[in-house]
Amino acid sequence: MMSKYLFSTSKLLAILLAIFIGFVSCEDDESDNPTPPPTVEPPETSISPFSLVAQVGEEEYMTLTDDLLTGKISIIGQGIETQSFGSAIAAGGHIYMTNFGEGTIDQIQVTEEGYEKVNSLSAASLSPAGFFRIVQKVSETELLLMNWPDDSASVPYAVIELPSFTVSTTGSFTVPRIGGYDPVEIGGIVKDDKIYLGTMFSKLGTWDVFPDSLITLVYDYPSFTNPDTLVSRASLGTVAGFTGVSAIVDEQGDIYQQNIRSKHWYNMGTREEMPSVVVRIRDGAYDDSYSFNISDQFPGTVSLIGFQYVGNGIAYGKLLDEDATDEWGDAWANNFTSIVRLDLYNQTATKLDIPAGPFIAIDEGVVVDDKFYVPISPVGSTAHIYEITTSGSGLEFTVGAELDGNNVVANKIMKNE
Amino acid sequence: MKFNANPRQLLLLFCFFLCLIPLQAQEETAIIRGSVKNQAGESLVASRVYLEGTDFGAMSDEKGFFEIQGVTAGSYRLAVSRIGSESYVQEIVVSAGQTLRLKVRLTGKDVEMDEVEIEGETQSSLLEKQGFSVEAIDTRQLQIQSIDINRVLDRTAGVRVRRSGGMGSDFIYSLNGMTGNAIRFFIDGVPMDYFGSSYSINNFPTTLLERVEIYKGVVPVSLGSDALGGVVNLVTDQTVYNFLEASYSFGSFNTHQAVVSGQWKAPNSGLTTRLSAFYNYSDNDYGVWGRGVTYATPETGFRPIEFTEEDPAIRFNDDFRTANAKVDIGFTNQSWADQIFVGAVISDLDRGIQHGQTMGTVFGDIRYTENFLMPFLTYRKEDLGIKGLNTDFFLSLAMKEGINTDTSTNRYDWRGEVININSNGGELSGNQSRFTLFEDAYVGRWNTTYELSPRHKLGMNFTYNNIQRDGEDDFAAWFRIPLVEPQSLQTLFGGLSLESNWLQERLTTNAFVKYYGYEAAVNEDVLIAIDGVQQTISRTIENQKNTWGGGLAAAFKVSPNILLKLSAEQATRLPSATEALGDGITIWNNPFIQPEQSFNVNLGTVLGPFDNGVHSFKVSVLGFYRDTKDQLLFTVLDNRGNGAFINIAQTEGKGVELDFNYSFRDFIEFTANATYLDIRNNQSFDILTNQPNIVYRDRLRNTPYLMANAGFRFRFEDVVQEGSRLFAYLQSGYVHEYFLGWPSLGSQDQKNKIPTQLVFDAGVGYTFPSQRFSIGLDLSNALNEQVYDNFLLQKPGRAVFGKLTYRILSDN
Repeated sequence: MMSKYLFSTSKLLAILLAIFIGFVSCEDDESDNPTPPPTVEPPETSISPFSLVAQVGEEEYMTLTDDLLTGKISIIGQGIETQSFGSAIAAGGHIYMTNFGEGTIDQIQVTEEGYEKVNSLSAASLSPAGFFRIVQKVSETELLLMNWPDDSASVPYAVIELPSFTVSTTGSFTVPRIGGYDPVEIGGIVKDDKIYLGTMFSKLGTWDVFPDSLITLVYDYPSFTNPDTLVSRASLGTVAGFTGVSAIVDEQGDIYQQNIRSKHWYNMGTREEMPSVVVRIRDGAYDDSYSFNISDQFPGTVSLIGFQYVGNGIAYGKLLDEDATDEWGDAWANNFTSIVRLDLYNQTATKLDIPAGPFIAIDEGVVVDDKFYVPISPVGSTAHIYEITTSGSGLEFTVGAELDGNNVVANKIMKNE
Repeated sequence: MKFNANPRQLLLLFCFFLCLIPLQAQEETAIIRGSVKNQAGESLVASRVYLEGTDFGAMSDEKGFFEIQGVTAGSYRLAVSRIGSESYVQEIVVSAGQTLRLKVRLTGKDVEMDEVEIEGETQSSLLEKQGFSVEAIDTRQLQIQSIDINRVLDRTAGVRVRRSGGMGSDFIYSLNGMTGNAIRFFIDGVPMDYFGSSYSINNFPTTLLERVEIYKGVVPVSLGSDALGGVVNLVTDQTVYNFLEASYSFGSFNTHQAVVSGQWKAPNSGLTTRLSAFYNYSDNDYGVWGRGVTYATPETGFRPIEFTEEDPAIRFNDDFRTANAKVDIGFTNQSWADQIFVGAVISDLDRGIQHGQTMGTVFGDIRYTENFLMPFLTYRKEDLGIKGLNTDFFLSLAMKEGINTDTSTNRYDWRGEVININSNGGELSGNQSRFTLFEDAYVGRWNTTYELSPRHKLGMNFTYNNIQRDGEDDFAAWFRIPLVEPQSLQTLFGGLSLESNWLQERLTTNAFVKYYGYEAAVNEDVLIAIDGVQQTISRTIENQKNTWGGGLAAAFKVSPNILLKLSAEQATRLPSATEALGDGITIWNNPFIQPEQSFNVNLGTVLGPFDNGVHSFKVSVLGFYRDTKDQLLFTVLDNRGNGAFINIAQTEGKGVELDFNYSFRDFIEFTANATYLDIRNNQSFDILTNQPNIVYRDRLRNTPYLMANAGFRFRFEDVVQEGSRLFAYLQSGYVHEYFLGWPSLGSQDQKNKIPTQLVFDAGVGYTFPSQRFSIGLDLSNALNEQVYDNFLLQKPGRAVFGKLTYRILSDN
């Protein structure tokens, strides 16, 4: 009698268990999704020409757009999650970026359906540090991956062929100590068969003392042999760059390089004898006849932190108002950074009448014909892409597509093709 | 000290004082209920159950049930008789507010008292009747199984335990949507925070436990806690009797756990000694595969090759070992002390660290070791000088030395091979480091209750912690300077509660106020010029906070089988030592940290148990609301995953949990529960950017929100041998997928997810007739599913464990 009970009850309970698990395992309906995002269908017939990278806190997203001038470009319900920390770069029809979550560098194809990861390389295997700080486009067919020098002044690098995304060279080279200072940061540009590595020298471990000059190391590329050292007394600071390039090459083959020195930059200070400058490297050496003093162009104390070349001697840069910032966080959180037009040949600098924004909210733009498109996300007002006409005065602009704004910081626009 | 109170606090204070208003005195009574059955388990009608010399008594009904209500507190001789059987008599003591549950079995012509259970004798049951949302997990049945506590609790309604790996791995608790450090852990009412890593809840053997209590959202004063989201309290057996027991379990991944525990009391002097010791070891060398688990070589063109389920990578630097001993010596059952013990906890721990925040970054040489010593004094006495005055206290000094060794220049891949040499060294931080953290924690806890009247009991609790930390680094990395210099943290908790019974015990209330004090001296590094030379120095910043909170818990018994519960609390959580002072490894200190605040409400009902002698079931439904401010979140501040705890979040959420329990004739039990959470980002402005928050009202990211568990338990007696017991279980756990990032951002179909998991566990245990020897066999993740609790952190697959338990000596 008991076994009869047991059998039937167990059977019943087994069914209960299955029903229960089945019930809760069901996919939740749409109402379970938080803040249902508006659905934006990708273009049906063509590949979107631009990508926009944006950050929200420590999260990063990349989304496609057809139009930089009208409508709204949003990451709400659109785009992909990335973990590149600003390393994304477009070259030869693909996008390349570090993937810190998986320890890789990814090659991403833009298709009509959106983004598709087509290949990866293991940063962990290529770099002794496990990642590359610098992902740099040498040409449409070549990437250079580098790190800052380690404690023994060794710099690992890898050269990647595109679009096959294969490693053609990997290795390391040693950079020298100079004047008792250790090399701590590098970043540069390839011109012809040379690489010009802007540097910051300091004291390992403390990073609290600096040489009184700008130092660039020159190597044969891609062999990283035949080293040479260039020194400019125009100012001090780093010429290794920060969240952007520190050197550009113009149509004549001259390299223009800008320094970063700020009271917030390792407490370097902003004294008069150490101005914010653009210097020139011509024929393999600093051109001491050229020193574009940015500080002299503006009242008060300013620092140029990054610039982009648009052609014909014109660049657009980010100008930080040092007087308005008591600490580095002020520059990141308030509208103290402006877009400035730099005429490198005539050595003039002019602020554009575009809203200022936080330092990080004005970043890398893209050049299309004679237009320069840059995203700006000011605190307290609407974020937009601005279309700047580089010809003529170079100060004219049009307010372009609206961005998410708020705490979404659009860092970068890239051309997908 | 400045006193600030918001309207919620004032309302709760009002409720507290309202409960102080004396109402008309009512008589305190108890209930005796139970069932009478024959040997076959069939119900017997017309058995007479009564208290000799009184008018209290009842006849069993056609289902064998009886109930005697309104029994006044006192000692009685309980008698059971039936026509044709001899009377059975047993001495019983009935306390006010108790429900005694008796199971009477008729064998032949004799009547036996098969089992006497006193419902409400446990603190957790009493608390539930006061309205607290509390679960009491009886772990005695699981003592012979190889199940760690995390797995046990993970099957409980509203509880989610997220583990990053196998034995000794990091874990995060979530209680009704509150997570991380918002959940506090106690052992016998004493905070576990200061017992060292070895004594953490994932290492603690179930063998030593009697039960686990889980308080959700609203926490009684007696626990002396600043828990925001709830408390898990491990309760060990405090009964004084002589015993010596040993167990040993072993299984997959070269996992071993040995436990010895015992107690001895001198017959006359009351001198009592206790010992509990355990040793845990595991290689944790389980297989992992898929995304992030790769290797690459020049031969592969540096393309990452993923390991597969058929050919998985074997974890190679995840071994874990800990040894722990706790010794008490003192006196019990003395006129001046029920218990007084001095003792010490000593432990050491050694573990490898296999990977970073995801399996995409693999480590091969990083190790963490810890040595710990904690002398302590405990005292407990009921009726101290005055009847109804109960008190206990705990004093300790916990000394911890934790060493994180990250000096290797090797770079590893998932094959376990060295693929690069990084001359800087340091797999984790990028610089060689051997950081030793020294921590001294002075802990004092005093808890007392006083029965003002048969219906009112006053409770007080004070808990004081003083933590001193400093460190040293053989490689003197400059960024650790603030963590090497001394830092300190003091917290003070004070609580006052009033428990009351009303309406002939149908309504019980517990009103309480709590005080939280916090003071910290935290270092920050600054770069300054001294004599023209720039130097990084450490300066100390004092941070002091005081706040008040309070709440009310109430339960109303609509009928003997229907209980309504309501609890609400304005709760505060003070920053932990690691949150405020950093850990010297990946967590930086925060001199300006603030306490977390939350307003928590629980509303629920318990239906049952409904028992007809064959079938019994009970249903609980709980709805809850949480409104949290100044939430501390670990915020990554560099690309190596280092960061600090910052007050950057406000969340608001509600949820519901359903718990169902059915049993058949006491030998089959079916349990099922489900929890749904709707926790939203309630931070309208981003603290870091001071900008409107685009993910305001978004569902909380990286947080499971739909969970369910179901399982069977089987209990049989006299299997193979008379007097033996067989226990078996089949358990399933389900967690619905959830997004790593903010759900509203990016395309839904391309977002990173923590995938849905459905895991089955099973086990069987057998206790031999002598009741001294037991064997257990457990199978976890029976279907060998690839499961994750965290993004790209795979948990162990199928594992088998066996356990032998031998009670060498017992006079119980």
